[in-house]
Amino acid sequence: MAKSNMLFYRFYVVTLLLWHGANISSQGNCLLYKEGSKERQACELSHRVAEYRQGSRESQDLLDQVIKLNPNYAWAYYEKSVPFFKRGLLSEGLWLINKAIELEPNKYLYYRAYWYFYNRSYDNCIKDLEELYTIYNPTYRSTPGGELEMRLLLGISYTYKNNPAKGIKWVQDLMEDYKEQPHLKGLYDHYCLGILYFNNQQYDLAKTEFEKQTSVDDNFADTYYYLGLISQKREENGVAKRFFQIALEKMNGLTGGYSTNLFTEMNIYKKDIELALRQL
Amino acid sequence: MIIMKGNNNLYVIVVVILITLSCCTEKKSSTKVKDKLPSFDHDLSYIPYDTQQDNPTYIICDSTNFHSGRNRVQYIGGNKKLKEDITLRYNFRSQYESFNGYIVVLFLVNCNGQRGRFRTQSLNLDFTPSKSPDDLENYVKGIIKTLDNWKWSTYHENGMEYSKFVNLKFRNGQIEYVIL
Repeated sequence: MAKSNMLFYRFYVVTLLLWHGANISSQGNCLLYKEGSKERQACELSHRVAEYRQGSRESQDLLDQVIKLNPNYAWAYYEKSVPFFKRGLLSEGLWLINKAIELEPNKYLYYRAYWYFYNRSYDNCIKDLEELYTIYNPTYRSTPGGELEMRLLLGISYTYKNNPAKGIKWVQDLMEDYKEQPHLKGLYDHYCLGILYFNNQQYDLAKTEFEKQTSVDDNFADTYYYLGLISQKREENGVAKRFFQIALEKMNGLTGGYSTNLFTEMNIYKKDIELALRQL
Repeated sequence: MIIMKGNNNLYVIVVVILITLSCCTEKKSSTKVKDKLPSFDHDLSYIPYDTQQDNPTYIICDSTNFHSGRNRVQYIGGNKKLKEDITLRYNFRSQYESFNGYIVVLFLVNCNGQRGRFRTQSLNLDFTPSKSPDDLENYVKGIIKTLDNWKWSTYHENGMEYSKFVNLKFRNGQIEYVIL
């Protein structure tokens, strides 16, 4: 029974990812447009974009042609915005993604929110994600690289804007959704919620989340750093020291450990752990 | 006849100079405006040569094959160390206090692993282009130029060339965030 459940979940996840990819990142179904129409031509031409390197002159020219054929093609504006953002041409990237959002906000609000978050524009990130989740209520939407569900970014943004309780509420709701669909839970969700609790000085709840995180992935160094900080606050210095040592080992890549950049100011560096150890 | 020969030589010299100049001078960046649609007449990762601000000896191997260095070019010690190194060098001046927004510093890493063609862009908090006070852009650009603690991916051994940017968020003229 358990095996059949697992097979079902795997099938569901693959289907969802394919559906998600088709909806978020693809040009759409060209057959939906009338044969011979400019919209159909634009859609068919857009498939050639994969022939060129993102941001190359050829790629830009092709997307310009696509937009000229169909100025209401949201995907083309989105696709054209991507290399601008990645290369620090933020004003131009924003102009393009704004056009995509004017046309299809349900599909592209998440992408603008991601770049707002990345550039520490937390007010704007909150505004976009509140609109996305209160009006369009998507089933599942992650950062473009798939690292974090967008509600985690919303939660963190609220924390930066000194409203951690509201951020925590959003992530608690996300965790509720996972009860029905546990296969959707990401690799760092408990870690993120742990950080939100930690910043809101709810250390018991934070500890529970960090412990859950270690059961999801016991090699992520940053979790042990926070467990060490909580122990330190409880004046359990021996335990804290052990956690910091584990964090350092994992950070150094020992015993399969690693750290990763989740693009927030909350990222942990080796120096932070070494400092914590010295201050014990 | 002698005069004619002299004129022909002069003509040949002028033509050779013009051809040489046209070969060795790269076109300045120009943005094509198609109903305000932002488009560049070169790879988005590339920064064209500008006689006013660039070192003419800075070599580019292939201007059509630049890559985004957002992930491939990193600062040793990460964001935190970069912020420390920048803020250590940054001296706040009262004339900067009115500035709230971003200054993006862009540069290239060429096939020899050298950085060059530094550019800056000031933005308001809503990411629309703005003007920062006095010499702030140049001042920040100068700071980024002095930092040499960069590392890039092993692809660079094959002569790969990158573009890179550092985004500084300012609040009341103070650096609030350094974004890589």
